[in-house]
Amino acid sequence: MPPPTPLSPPELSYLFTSLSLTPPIRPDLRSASQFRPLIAECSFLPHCNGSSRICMTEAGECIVGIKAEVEKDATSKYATIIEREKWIEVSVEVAGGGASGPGSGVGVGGISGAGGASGRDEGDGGAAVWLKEGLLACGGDGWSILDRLVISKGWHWKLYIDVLLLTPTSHPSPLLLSTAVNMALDSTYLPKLTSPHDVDDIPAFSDDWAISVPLYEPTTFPRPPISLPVVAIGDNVFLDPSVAEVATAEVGLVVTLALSDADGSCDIVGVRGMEVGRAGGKEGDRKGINRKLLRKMVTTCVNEASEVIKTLGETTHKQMFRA
Amino acid sequence: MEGLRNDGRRWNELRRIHCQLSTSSTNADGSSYIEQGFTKVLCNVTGPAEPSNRQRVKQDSATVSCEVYFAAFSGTDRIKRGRNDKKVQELQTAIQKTFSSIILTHLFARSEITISIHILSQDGGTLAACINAATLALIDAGIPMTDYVCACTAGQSTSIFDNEGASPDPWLDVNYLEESDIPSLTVATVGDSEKIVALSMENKVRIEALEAMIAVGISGCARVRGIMDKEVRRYGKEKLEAEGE
Repeated sequence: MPPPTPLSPPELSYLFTSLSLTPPIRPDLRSASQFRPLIAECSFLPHCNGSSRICMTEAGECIVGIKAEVEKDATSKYATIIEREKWIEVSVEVAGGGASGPGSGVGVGGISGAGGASGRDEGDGGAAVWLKEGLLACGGDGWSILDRLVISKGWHWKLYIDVLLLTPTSHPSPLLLSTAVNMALDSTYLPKLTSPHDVDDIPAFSDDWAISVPLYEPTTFPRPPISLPVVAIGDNVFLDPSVAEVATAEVGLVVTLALSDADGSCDIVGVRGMEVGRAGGKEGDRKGINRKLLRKMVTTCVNEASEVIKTLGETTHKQMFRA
Repeated sequence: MEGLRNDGRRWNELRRIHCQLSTSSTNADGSSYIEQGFTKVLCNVTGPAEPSNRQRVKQDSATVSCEVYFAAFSGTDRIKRGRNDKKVQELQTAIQKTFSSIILTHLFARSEITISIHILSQDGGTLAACINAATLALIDAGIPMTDYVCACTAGQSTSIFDNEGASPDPWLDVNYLEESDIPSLTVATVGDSEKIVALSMENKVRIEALEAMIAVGISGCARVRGIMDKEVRRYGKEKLEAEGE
């Protein structure tokens, strides 16, 4: 189901026309690749290893807390991939801005294949699934986030990523969710191990937070991933679409990117389809998408978004440093 | 000899209180954020609006409903509290009853005012922080109330009486460590009138100590009111100036 909109057919038709012009006119007069302003802060929860709060005008507010617990490996032998993937648990809870309680949502982000609004990453988890997938896919060259979670022989960190969504709609922008998770991961610190690595006794940690170890080393790559929604109307590609633009769009994608070097170039970690309104065409008139248009959408993301992702990382580090 | 508590405060000192109004950009009519020490609470208020449920319609006044959510990461250990958790329900009822008596509900017949509270971090005095956050959010939403509702906690440091028979000073605004160690109560007053609207205590305490604890709690409430009032006035002034330009 595409996100429901309060817009009437004439309004959608007007939007469709103005967005398919060359150059297009967006309802809020942004340029095609311009993002909306957002408020971001991190590491403000004392009980969490990492935390963040992102506030966007239309999409609402998202608070993420990351907690790490010491856990014994399930088997004494080399842990399998399936077991290792359980080291990270993502859960998304949707609580409306007021009257609508949890569970009132239909599907977070309107991403294809994503079921219920709230849930854990196991089974029908909706947003939690693609958030975790992006996290695990991010890496390459044998590097994986899971390697960072190994404490010592037989022990690992179990990472709980809890996302709290305070949104007016049940379809918040995937950008809101992934930015919040990205920032929280970037600000996550784990206590420093003081016992030896190769002993399988219960590990011991230093009490001193000043020497704690960041989950993502600040200067190494890849950085935590970020998912960007992108929609196309006619031949025009729009980054960070508003609810009205999603309702009007003919095709939508969520492109997951991770910063791969200091110059700001990005790796594509994942691409998913996003449910859009397709208000332009008649009902039942599904034309399909041109391959070239899809390519254009992905390249626009990679080219235009890197600066935003880079700045976000810098903001996080600035706030961490201040804290 | 006046001793210091484990976080360096004296018996009658509050923790740092930081509050903000209109923090949320969501569709809530009013929102607030309050930090009392490491206890951090976010509150959204919607309404007066049409009741979500027919059962909540009252012909002559507004219904006040309250939803409390504990974030899974709010405590020291990760605990998920469901909707039917006893502690959650208790908090909801306490807050709902408190505000039903303070909000001028007769002005909004057949409507509903929803207070939704998110507890992000717990470090003692959760109920007090929830009540304070709700007051600020209701003010932000412009819902008429008779006065501020301010809450504060107080604890009795020890139940052993000294030689003269006088009990030691109660502690104001207990943190998590103190709360789990000594008997404490939460008291909420209407403005600085010293009239109590909510009182809750879950421990055993000697009857002689109770009145002193309540008295200290009330004096704390008056100070909390001062801090909250200052922030409301600052925010109001800032908003008016911004609109005047």
